[in-house]
Amino acid sequence: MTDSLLAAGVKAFLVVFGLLTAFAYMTLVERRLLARFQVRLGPNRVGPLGLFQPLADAIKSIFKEDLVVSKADRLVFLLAPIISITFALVGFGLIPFGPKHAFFGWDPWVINLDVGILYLFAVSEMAVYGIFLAGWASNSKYSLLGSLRSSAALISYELSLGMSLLAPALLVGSLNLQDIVAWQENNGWLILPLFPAFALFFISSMAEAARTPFDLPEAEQELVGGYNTEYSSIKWALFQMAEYVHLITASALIPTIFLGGWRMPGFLPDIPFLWMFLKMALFLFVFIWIRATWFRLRYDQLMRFGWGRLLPAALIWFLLSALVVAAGASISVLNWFSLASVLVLLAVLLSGPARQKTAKGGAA
Amino acid sequence: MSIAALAQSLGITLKALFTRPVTIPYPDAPVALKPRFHGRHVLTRHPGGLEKCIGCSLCAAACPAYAIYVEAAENDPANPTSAGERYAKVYEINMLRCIFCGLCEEACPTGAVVMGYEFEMADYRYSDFVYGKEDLLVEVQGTKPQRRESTYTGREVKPGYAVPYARVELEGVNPPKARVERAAPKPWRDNPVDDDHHEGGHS
Amino acid sequence: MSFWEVVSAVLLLATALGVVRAQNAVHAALSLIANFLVVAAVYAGLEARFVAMTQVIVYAGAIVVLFLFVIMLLSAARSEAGPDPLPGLQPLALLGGVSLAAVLVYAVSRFQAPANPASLQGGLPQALGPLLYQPERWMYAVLLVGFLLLVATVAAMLLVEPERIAPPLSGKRPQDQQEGARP
Repeated sequence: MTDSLLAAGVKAFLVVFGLLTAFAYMTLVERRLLARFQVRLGPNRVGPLGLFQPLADAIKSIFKEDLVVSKADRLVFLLAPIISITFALVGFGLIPFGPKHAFFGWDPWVINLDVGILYLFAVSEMAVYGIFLAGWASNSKYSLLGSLRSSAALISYELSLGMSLLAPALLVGSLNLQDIVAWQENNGWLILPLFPAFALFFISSMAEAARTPFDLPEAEQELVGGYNTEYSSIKWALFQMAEYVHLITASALIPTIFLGGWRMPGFLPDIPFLWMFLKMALFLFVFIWIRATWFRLRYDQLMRFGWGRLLPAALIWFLLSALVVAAGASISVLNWFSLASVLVLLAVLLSGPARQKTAKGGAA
Repeated sequence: MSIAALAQSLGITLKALFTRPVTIPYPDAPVALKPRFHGRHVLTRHPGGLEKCIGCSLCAAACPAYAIYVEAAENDPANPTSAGERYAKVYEINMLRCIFCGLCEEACPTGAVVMGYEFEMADYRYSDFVYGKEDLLVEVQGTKPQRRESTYTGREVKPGYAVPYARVELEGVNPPKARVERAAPKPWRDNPVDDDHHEGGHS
Repeated sequence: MSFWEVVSAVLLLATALGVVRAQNAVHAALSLIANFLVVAAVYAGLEARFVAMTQVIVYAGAIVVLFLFVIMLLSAARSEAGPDPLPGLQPLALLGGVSLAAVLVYAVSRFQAPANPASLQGGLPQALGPLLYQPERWMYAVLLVGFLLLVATVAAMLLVEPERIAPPLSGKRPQDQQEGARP
């Protein structure tokens, strides 16, 4: 039924290779797109359209001097980026890109776990160790403080990440990602009854991938400190890789759970890899768009937001879904609730004070 | 931050995404300079071909960075170089000392030294930065490194700039034309100024 | 015993030894994480997949993080070697270890595997749910444990900032708050 171990091994290798190449070109895409958001061109000198820029960056990164701080704990110093990138890469194997045997006779996923969502949760929690240990192993007090703050922030957003995924698991009745995709084919995309869970998961994924407005781990480098201050060359590149791989995995997860995965509704044909790539591209665009636009949250604002707003919202939404399911009502009741939340969001959007035009020469 | 402000900011950046980028892909495209740009100095000539510079050294006196060195010599009456009694035998500007302030242009009584449009003067040796008369006269195209490169490659000097119009004071300079944002101002006199009555004819 | 069982047993012992014998508390914590991961693998091999993932999430992902936070914030990483503070600790430790081993051996000898691994249904939440949440099974125990966790959370908050949560208990008035504490 499932592919042989050899096939899984080859697919795992392909996934890793693909993710690392995607990381390289994501850096270029992000720089070009950020530049266009800022009304300028991005890097376009190195090779046609700047396509060799990631190669140049990789070569530069590898040839830099690999410093190890003298009093650093060498074992942990080496281990931290390895932990980071390993746990970032293993999370991607669960995501189904098509039906069985769609990948040249093999299944288009590396592994199909029955506890899929829990596995993803576990992997993202283990990845926090990379940041954690990096700061400690640098033996520098600002690195340590930066890494402790960053890992505390990441762990706080794990909670709402998990809570927001409880509602889809409840509705579908399974933690298996393939079951979720199959359920969505029959019952419509999960974003419809569970729009608040989608929004919460989206925000928590942004926090887990350490993207603006939650990119405290990145911003710490602008200030003194930050967990990878003392890292250089390939180890630093591994941290960047881990961050982008988290981002790509999140962009692949959100469509899988909430937007129907590799299937499209209605008459559109179920082309195996195409729809997933398009949906991933959409979410990557939105992540980059948000990065180009919004400020980053200060640390206490970040923690307050995660614990005080996201977690209660996730809990309340989950309780509401559980109530609906326990009362035996059909899922269309949840449709109404989520529509109500969308309407509330729109009402807040359209009634906010920012809509007024600024007077000439006056303050906004 | 209110959600409305967040959404409005997203709208602003989305609009910026579809705006043409303002980056000029220099050196593949020329930089659009403004007409009064302070570039490499140009030693202009009168319409007949005589140099305007009379070697008076007022520019050297006015230069705040002491970048100009002038040695004057008497004009040979049969074969005058300039339109006065003396001409500048040696006229050197050290481009590394020069601060491109334009005070030399303001001090010049004949309008000889004018700030032109060349700016691509990056070079390797200090001594190459002292531009003599042969590098500054109005018929010289390009800066010293550009001319050196054109002798190697055999190609003409390609200026990396474009100007909507050349100033009136820059007689004889023909820069590449940029897209015209504003029309050139009309000269306030119909003919070029000839205060020393060297051109024959009417008084 | 199969090959993987032997491998996991060796790894478990090695990492556990690493925890106890490491010179550096952070190395010990890393060994502990490795130990938990191997335990999770053992659980998964025993068809208890939910418990395996929960082991990673809760133990390796939260509890050891807590340990490491404390170690790092208090700079407690370096080992301190010296004589035991209390007399007679070594014979007592030996006694404790031997009795624990005896209990474990007894428990293992009385172990009866479930008749049919398939009846475990992979230990997934679909199988565990009825066990945990039916009133005739373990529901009251789960509720009690939940209540205990709630009490622990409130107690932790009270220990840290009593004047914010229950002003009468702390003996301070709310307006005597220290600088920097938010109302």
